Amino acid sequence: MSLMSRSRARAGSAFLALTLAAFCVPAPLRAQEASAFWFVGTKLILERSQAVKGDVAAPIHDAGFERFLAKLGATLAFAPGQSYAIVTTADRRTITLTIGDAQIAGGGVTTRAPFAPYLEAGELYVPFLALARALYVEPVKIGSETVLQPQLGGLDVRTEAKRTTLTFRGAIPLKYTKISESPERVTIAFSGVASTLTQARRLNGGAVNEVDVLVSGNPRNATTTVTIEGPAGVAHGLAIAPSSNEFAVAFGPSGTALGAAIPEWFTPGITQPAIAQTFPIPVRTPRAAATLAPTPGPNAAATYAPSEGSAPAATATPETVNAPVTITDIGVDPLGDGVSVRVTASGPVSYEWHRLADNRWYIDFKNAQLSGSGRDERPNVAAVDAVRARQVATSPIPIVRVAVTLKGDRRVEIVPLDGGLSLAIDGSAFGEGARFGSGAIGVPPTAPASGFGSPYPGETFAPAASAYPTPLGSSSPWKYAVPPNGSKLIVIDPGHGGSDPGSLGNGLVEKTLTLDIALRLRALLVAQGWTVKMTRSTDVDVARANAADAEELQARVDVANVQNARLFISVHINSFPRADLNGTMTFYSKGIDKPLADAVQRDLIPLLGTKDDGARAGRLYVTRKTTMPAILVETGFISNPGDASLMRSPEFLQHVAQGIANGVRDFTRSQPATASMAGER
Amino acid sequence: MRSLRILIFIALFTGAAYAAWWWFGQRPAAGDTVTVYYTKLDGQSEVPWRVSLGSARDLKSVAFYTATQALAGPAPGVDAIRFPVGTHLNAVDVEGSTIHVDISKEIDSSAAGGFAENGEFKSLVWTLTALPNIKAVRITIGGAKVATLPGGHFELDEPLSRSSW
Repeated sequence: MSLMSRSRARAGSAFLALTLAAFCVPAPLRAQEASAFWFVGTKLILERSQAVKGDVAAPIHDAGFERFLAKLGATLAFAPGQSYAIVTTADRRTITLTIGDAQIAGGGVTTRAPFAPYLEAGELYVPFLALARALYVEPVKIGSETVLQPQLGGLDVRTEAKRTTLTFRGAIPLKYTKISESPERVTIAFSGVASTLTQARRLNGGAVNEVDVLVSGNPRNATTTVTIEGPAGVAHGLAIAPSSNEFAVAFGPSGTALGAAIPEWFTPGITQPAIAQTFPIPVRTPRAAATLAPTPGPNAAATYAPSEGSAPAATATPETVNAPVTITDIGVDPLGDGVSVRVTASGPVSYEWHRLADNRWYIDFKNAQLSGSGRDERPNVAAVDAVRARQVATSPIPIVRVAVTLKGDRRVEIVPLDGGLSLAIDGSAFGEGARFGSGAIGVPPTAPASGFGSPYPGETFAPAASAYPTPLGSSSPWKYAVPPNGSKLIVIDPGHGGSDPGSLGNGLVEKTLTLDIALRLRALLVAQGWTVKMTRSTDVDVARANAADAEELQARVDVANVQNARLFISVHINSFPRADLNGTMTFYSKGIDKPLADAVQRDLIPLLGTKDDGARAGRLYVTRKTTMPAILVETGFISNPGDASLMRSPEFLQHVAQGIANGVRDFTRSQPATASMAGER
Repeated sequence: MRSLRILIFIALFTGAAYAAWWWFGQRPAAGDTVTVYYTKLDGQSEVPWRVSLGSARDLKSVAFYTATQALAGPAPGVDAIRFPVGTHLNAVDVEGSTIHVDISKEIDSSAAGGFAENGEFKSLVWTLTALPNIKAVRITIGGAKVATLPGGHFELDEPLSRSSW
């Protein structure tokens, strides 16, 4: 290599080294100083800020900067070693800051900051004033002071068919007062915000002609007054706003559904009746923070002692005894070779039944009083010798007993009815000897005194006297007389419970609804001849109060897995932040779940009349971890006023239970083989 | 000779600039835009959205960027299943063909049930598995492994892939 070449190579190497060094050497430390601003009625101080090119470089971990974002409902995501810092606003816009790039991208608009975000001593500094503008906060200079003025900064206009929805987006949660209103026109004053929106905007087409924006007040406390006017014949209503930083109003032809009336005033955090009734926001209460008291009334006392072994422990609460329920009527009617005994009660009541070895069968209703003096019937049928009803105890707990003397080995089926039950004795043979079991009419019973309640640990209820019966009204025998996996057990899992209320919405509590449905379902499945075990039958945690979610759910899964249940059915109520979603859906996870989910969904929809959201795959803990066919039924949306209204009705809840029970019946009829049970997962 | 010097200088400068760019890990990954998937309100179908990507191109930064976009949801006014308000990304890491995403605890405050949780995580998983060579997403919450969520009981104890549903 010639001398010239060597010198050129040296020069090139030196240049390369200098170039690399220039990239690698950190920027010199800048002088730090505090910057003070006036912001929403208080001083905002950035303690460790730096003045850079007419903006203020704010470290993202500065307390003032964090307070600023918190006030706006915004969050910032950044991790060392990464190039981006991303701010997510309350109205779900993302604003992207890139280290070394002065552009700020947000909401489809890119602006240029005076300087690029940079790292210094491990801390990320961002252009504060430029970021503030992207967050709809306008810096306004007043003398020596800078006011950070929140703005009504965004307006979306959506026109669909004849309806136009305007959504105003503010920097902060919007507080407003309705100034004037007619069907075609409304004027709203938003206090505490100025506006960069166009003062007068004419909209072509749709149900709004013009939007006028007027800013008044002073820079530290501005008010923006918005007037929206549509053509003659339109009306308007308050539309759903996804966040408190937004205000949405819909205009459309008069007589169409346009939302609720706009309240006279609205302040975030202060609930107004008009809003609460129209847009009930569902709430998920964290488990640890749950403080809901048990539902008063009969449920409050329905707590069983913790059980040993595989059955999970329950949280005990004191037992109380409520006023006795009245057995208002006992009717005896012919039913084939036997009779149907119809028992009507004035309220929820628990029962325990016994089949004795000598063909006597009786059912005791606990904490119940018989209206009248009792009843003796000797029907002239082949299967039944006598039916008697008596008040067999009055103290300490009144008990009504209905006893049946059978002619030979006859089966008795308990069929739940609205407000009571029916004992169906149709002359068929039983052949399984002495047995007993228990159940309830209506909403769960008061916790039984000693000698009542579940005869088994963990709330296993033995099947009704007619184990694997021919159902009433059906001419074909059950195909699952010997269940495919040899188990006669179905586990019902009422979602949530105890310290975990589940979703709340429209005045309803998920855990209460799921328990109600599950208890109804239990009665129906028992009547079908199944042995039913509940993961909980009262308002309790299954694992323990405030347990981790996985521990709680695993306890529920264990109930089914340990006892090799035939099926697992979890009952839940859906919820969504938006109130307009509704419908019934059934989740499955494993391949063996799907036929059950399909059957239950197919049987639910005609009974409920809700929107059919289908049987769908879901990655849910209880359906994934159980080893048998398992489903999770989302009955309806607690967040939807229509679904919630339905779920307030006991008839609807009974239909839910009936639909699931029908689905179980159809599934077990169609899945008689044993082979599939241990297979696909 | 002078023109040769200029040529050499340009070549060196170009080489140095490329070396510096490479040094900072700016390898091309996804072009100027990246696809973020959002779950429609039917809970079952995904809508791809092309969003502009800033200057960074290394996989970790792109993953961070797209995961944040998925958590934030689409633009206001677009119907989609969204993560609970306030849910944000704590950190992202690339572990071979799996991306580890750590999400803030606001996810636990969801007012939603199983329907929404399935849709939320579908969006995140579809988005991140659209990145080159990424097959699965491992999710932690608040820095800890979590087996399930309190609201809808979505299961999180294994890495998720597009075939998880």
